Amino acid sequence: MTALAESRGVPAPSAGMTLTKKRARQALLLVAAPTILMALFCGIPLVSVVVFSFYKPWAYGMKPGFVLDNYIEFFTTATYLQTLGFTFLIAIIVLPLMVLLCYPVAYYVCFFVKSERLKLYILLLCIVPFWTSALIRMVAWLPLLGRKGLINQILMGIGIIDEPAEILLYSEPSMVFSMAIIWSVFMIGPIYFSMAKIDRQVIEAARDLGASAWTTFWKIIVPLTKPGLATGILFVFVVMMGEFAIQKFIGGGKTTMLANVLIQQQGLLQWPAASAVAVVMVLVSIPVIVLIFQFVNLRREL
Amino acid sequence: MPEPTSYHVARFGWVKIVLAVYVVLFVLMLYGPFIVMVILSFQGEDGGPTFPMQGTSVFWYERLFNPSGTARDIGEYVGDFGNAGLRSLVLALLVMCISTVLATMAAQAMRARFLGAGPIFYLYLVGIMIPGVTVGLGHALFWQGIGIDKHWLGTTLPVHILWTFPFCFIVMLTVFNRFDRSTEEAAMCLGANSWRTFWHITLPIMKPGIMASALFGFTLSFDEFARTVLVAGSQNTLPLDVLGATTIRITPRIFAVGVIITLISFAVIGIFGYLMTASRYRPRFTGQEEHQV
Amino acid sequence: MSDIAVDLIDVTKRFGRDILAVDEMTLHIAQGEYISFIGPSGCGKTTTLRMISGFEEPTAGQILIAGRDCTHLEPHERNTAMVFQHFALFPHMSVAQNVEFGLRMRKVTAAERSQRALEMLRAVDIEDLADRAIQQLSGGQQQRVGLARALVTRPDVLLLDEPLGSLDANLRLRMQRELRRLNTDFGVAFVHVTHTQTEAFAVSDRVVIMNLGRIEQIGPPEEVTHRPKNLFVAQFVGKNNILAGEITGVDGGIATVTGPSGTFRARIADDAPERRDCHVVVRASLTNLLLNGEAPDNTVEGEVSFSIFETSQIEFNIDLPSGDSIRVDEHEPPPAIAALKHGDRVRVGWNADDALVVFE
Repeated sequence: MTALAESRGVPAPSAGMTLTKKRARQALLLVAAPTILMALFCGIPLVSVVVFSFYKPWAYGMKPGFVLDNYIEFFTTATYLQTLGFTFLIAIIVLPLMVLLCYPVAYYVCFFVKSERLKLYILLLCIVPFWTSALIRMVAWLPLLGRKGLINQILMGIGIIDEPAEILLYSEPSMVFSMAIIWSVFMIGPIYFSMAKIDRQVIEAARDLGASAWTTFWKIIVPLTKPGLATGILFVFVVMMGEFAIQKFIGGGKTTMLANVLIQQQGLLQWPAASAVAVVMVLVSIPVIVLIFQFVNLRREL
Repeated sequence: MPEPTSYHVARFGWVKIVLAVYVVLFVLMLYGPFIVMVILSFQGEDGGPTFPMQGTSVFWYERLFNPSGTARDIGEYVGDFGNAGLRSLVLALLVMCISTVLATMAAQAMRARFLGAGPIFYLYLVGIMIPGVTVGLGHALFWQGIGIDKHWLGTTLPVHILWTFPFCFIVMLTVFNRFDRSTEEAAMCLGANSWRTFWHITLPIMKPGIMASALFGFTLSFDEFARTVLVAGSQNTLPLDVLGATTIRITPRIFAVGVIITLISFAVIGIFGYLMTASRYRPRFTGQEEHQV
Repeated sequence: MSDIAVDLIDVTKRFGRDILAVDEMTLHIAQGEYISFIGPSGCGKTTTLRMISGFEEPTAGQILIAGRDCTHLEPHERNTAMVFQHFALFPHMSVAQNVEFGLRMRKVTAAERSQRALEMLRAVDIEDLADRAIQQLSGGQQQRVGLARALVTRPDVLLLDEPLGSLDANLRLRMQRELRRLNTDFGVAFVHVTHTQTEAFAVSDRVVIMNLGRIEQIGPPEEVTHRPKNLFVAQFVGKNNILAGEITGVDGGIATVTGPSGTFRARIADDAPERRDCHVVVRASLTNLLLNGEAPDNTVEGEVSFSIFETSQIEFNIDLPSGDSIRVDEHEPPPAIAALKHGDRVRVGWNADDALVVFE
C-alpha cells in the first residue's frame, strides 16, 4: 500500500497523519499527570512495605537489613495463620451472603418497580448511607445489637428468650451480618447497573420461546448480570481486606482479621512485622482479584 | 410502547409481594441503626449508650464542643471534635477538587484510543485494590524513612487521593461513555478549538457528572479512616476522633457526633443534588404551546 | 476564489491495517452544488464526509476546501459546517445561543451576532423560537436549528450526515424541499450522506454511488437511475430486473443477449467493454404484463408468485422457468391485471430501448 501510494506521488501514510499524531499527543499530555501521581501513590506504599518487611525486627522500631525473620515469624505462628484462614473464611461467607441479600433488592427495583421516579428514590435510599460515615454506621449497630441492646430487649420483652443473647454482638455472625449491610451499596450498585442494561425484549423473547419464569431467570438474567456480580464482589473484597473497624466494634476483638494484626503490630512499633503482614495481604489478594477479573472486563462495562 | 413490566414473572404475583416486603426490611436494616442512634443521642444526662432512655436532653450535644468538667469523671474520651471536623472538611474539599480535576483529565484522555490506555486504566484501579491499611502503613513508613513528620494534610492527602481518584475516574468514564460526541464535533465544526470545545460544550453538559464525581471524592475522603489512621500524625481528622472516642468508653456523645456527621453528609448531598439539577438552560418564557413543524 | 467548493484528490482512508474505508477517491464538488453520497453501509460515505470536516484524517491524498489545502487541518481551522442526524444541539443553550455559537467562536460582535442569528432563524422559519430551550422543540424544529446554526457561519461547504434520519416520513418530505430551497438561496455547496435513495434523488444535483470505498458512479439522479454504469449500480439503484447472459451480437447500439431465461435485445453503450458475460437490466416500471398478445421486443413467460399493493401501483413478482424472477410495476392497472393471483401464468414484455446491457 505504501509503495503503491508513493509510486503515485502521494505521501506515505506515516508522513501524512499529522492530525492523528497531534490528537494522540494531546491525550498523552492529559493522562500524564494523573498517571504519574497514581503510579507514585501506588508505588510508594508497595515498595515501602516490601522493603521494610525484610528489615530486622527490633524492640522499638527496626534496623535495616535483609532477613526473612518477619515472614518466618508470620508463617510459623499458629495465631497468624489462623487469622489468615479466618480472613478468607469471612470473605467466603460474606460475599455469597451479600449476593443473596443484595440481588433481590436490585432485581425488585429493576423489574418490579414501574415508575422511573420510584426506582430512583429506592436506589437513592440504598446509596445515601454510602455517602455518610461508614464508621458511624458501624457504631450505630451497637445500641441495637448489644447485651442491653434494643433487639435483646424486644426479644426478652415478648418472651422469646429469658436472658440476653450474647451472639448478637461481639460474635462472628453479627460481624458478618453488619459487614453485609454496611457494604451493601458496593454490591447493589453494580448488580443494578448491569441489570438495567438488559434489553427487555431479550427477556420477552425468552418467554415467547417457552422458557418458564424460573428458566428465564437462571438462563438469561443471571448470566447477563455476571459482570455486575463480579464487580460487586471485587469492590467488597478489596474493601474488606483493608478494613479493621468492624471487627473492633462488632467483632469485639475476639477474632481478628489480617488488617487487625497489621494495626496491632504497628501499634507495638513492630514495623517490619506489620510490613510482612501487609505484603502477605497484597499477595493473597492478587489471585482473588485476578480470578474476579476473569468474569468481567471492567473497561467495557462502564 | 408496551409497558416494561415484569412480563417474565407475570404469573408469579406472590414473588412480587415477597420481594417488596423484603426490600422494605432491607431498607429498615440499612436505616434502623441510624434511627436508634438519633434517638439515643438525645439520651438524658444519666443515661448510657443503650435503651431505655433516661429522659431526654441535648446534654450530649453540648458536651461535643465542651468536653471538660465531668468528662474525665465518667471516663469519657476527650475528643476535639470541632477542630477535627474542620480539618476533615479542609482535607475533603482539597481531595475533592484534586481528584475530580485529575479524573476529568484522565477520562477525557481515555476517550481517544492510544497505546497504553489499557494498562493505565488498570493502574488507576490498583489504588482501590491495595488493602487500605497496607496503603496507610506503606505511606507512613515512607515518610518516616525520609524523615518527614506525619501531618493531617500533607501526608494524608496522597493516600486520600489514591482512594478517591479511582472512584471519581470510574464515574467520569461512565459519564463520558454516555456522552454524545457529536455535540463536540458540532462545536469544532463551528470553529471552536479543542480547548474552547471542552470549556463551552463538554464541561457544561457534563456538569452533573462532574458533580457526582466530586460528591464521591468529598464523602469518601471525609469518611476515610482505614488509610488515614497510620498517616495523619498527632492531629486527628474527624473519623479518627470518632475512632478514638470508642476506645475508652462509649457514651451517647458518640451518637451525637454521629448525628452531626450524618447531617453534614446530608447537607453536602443536598447541595450537590441542587447544583446537579440546576445546571440546565432555563427558558425565559415557558407555557407556550409546542409548535409542530 | 475558486468556483470549486471541495476537491478530493486520491483520498484514501485506512483504519488499522485491514480496513480500507475509502480507496483513492477523486471528486470535485462545485460551489452551490447539492451532492449526495449513497451506498450500502460501510461503503465509506460517512468516512468521506468526516474527512472533509476534519474529524478523520486521510491516510493518503489531499483535500482542498475552496482551493485551500485542508488535508491536515483541525476541524475548527476549516470553513465547513455540519448538520447531524441526531441534531447535536447544545442542550445547555437556548435556540439563539446555539445559532450564535459559531459566530462567537469567530469573535463576531454581540450585536452583529444576534442580528445574523435572527436573520438565519427567519430563513428557516423559526424566528419565534429564539428564546426556547432545546428540550422544548420538536424533531423538525431541532433540525431547523441545526441548519441555522450551521449556515449562519457562511461555510464553504455544508455537510449533512443523515440529516433527516431521525425525522418521521412526512416531515422528511417537507425538510427535503426545505434543504433544496436553502441550497438555492444560500449558494453554498451541500454534501449530503444518506442511505435513503429517494431522499438523495429528491434533493441532489448529482448523486455519488459508493461501494467498498470506491465511487461506482457519479451523475444526476436521472442518469444513475436510467443509465446505471455497471452491475452494482443497477442492483443498488431503483427497482431493476437483472438477467444474466452472453452477448451474441451487436447491431446499431442494440445487443442480443442469450441467457438461461431467454434471448433478449437491449441497448449497449458505445464504450462498452469487449466482453461477452453481461447482464440485461430493465426497470420494473418499464416492464408490462401482456394480456392481449402484444409483441414487444422482449418477452418471457412465467407464473405469478406474489404481488404487493403500493398505493398507485401493484408490484407483481413473476417466477420464470429458469429460476430467475421478474418484478413488474403496473401503474393503476386495469381490473384484469389487478385480479392476477398466485399461480396464474402470464407473459411479461419490454422494449429493447428500455433495457440496458451492463457488466460487472
